[in-house]
Amino acid sequence: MREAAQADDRAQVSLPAVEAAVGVLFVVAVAAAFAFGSPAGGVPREAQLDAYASDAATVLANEPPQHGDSTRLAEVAASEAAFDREADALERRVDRILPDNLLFRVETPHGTVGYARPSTVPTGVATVPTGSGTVTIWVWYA
Amino acid sequence: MTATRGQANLPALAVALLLVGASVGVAVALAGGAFAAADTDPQDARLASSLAERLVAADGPLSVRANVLSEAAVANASGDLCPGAADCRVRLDEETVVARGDPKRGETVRRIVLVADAEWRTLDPGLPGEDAVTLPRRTANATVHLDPPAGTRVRTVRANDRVVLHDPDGLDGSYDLTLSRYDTVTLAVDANRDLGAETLSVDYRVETTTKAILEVTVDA
Repeated sequence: MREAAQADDRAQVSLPAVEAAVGVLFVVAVAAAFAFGSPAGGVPREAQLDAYASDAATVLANEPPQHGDSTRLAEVAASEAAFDREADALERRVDRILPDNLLFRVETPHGTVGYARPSTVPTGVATVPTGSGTVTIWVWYA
Repeated sequence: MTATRGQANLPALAVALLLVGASVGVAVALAGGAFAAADTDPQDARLASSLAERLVAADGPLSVRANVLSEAAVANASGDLCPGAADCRVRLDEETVVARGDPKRGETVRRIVLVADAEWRTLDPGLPGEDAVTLPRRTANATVHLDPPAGTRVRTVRANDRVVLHDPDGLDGSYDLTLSRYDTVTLAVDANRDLGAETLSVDYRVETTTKAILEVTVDA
């Protein structure tokens, strides 16, 4: 390619090579659409996680309280003092209800229990209205 | 001019064609894989999640209330639960409850449930002093047996000041009560004179629940 190069003569990248590079770029772009854009079959992960979250919410919402109020969730949402008293028991209970491969976070008007919520993984969510505010439950795969 | 500039056109063309050809091949293989992966039957997933939803619903065939299954109903469950003619299997904590056919390649949906085992216990309060008896917490159903001595008329039974039984001519016999699951209930008996110790006994329902994973697999 460069055997005849003089000081003022510059060799030139072969045009077919440039065209091929551009072509490969186009083909790779199309391939990427197939690799990332096609839906996976089966039960969607989000649907399964939402089902877990709503099941946990239903179970907790129907559970009798430890001390006062009408249900367990109403009890923890009721006041700061009730939350402080019940937080550990609630965390243990949610941990027991959920399958072992799930992590969770429960947010009440007076504080949260559970793990820090990651922003990069699919998450299932369920909310339960109670007399003193909304309780939200998030679950995700560990 | 052309003689001084070297340009290896033919080998470059060959390499370029090779590159483009190879990347097209890879892209077609990827597309084929993506199509094969996307070509699953959505019917399985839909049937599995709707059957699971029906089983955990409050008025489902095995339910006591939402997400709580009755142990007795689970023990008696039959293949009629399966939708249409699909192969399906319902498992509770890895134990098969219902199976019809062999849903090998089906879709699976998992739900969290509690399994409730109900048991009746009898409370014989002996009625000290004020003719009232407090039932254990979480009691939702109770059967009151009243057997007043001759000449004594029991007119009213109240649950937490709510009248649940009333007969001006006197109550005598067994009565089923539906109570609140959210309150601790005190039953009070109004009678025209002191009641003997044998007058009142209460059968109440105790529910013990265990958690379980309900696994529904359907292969249509």
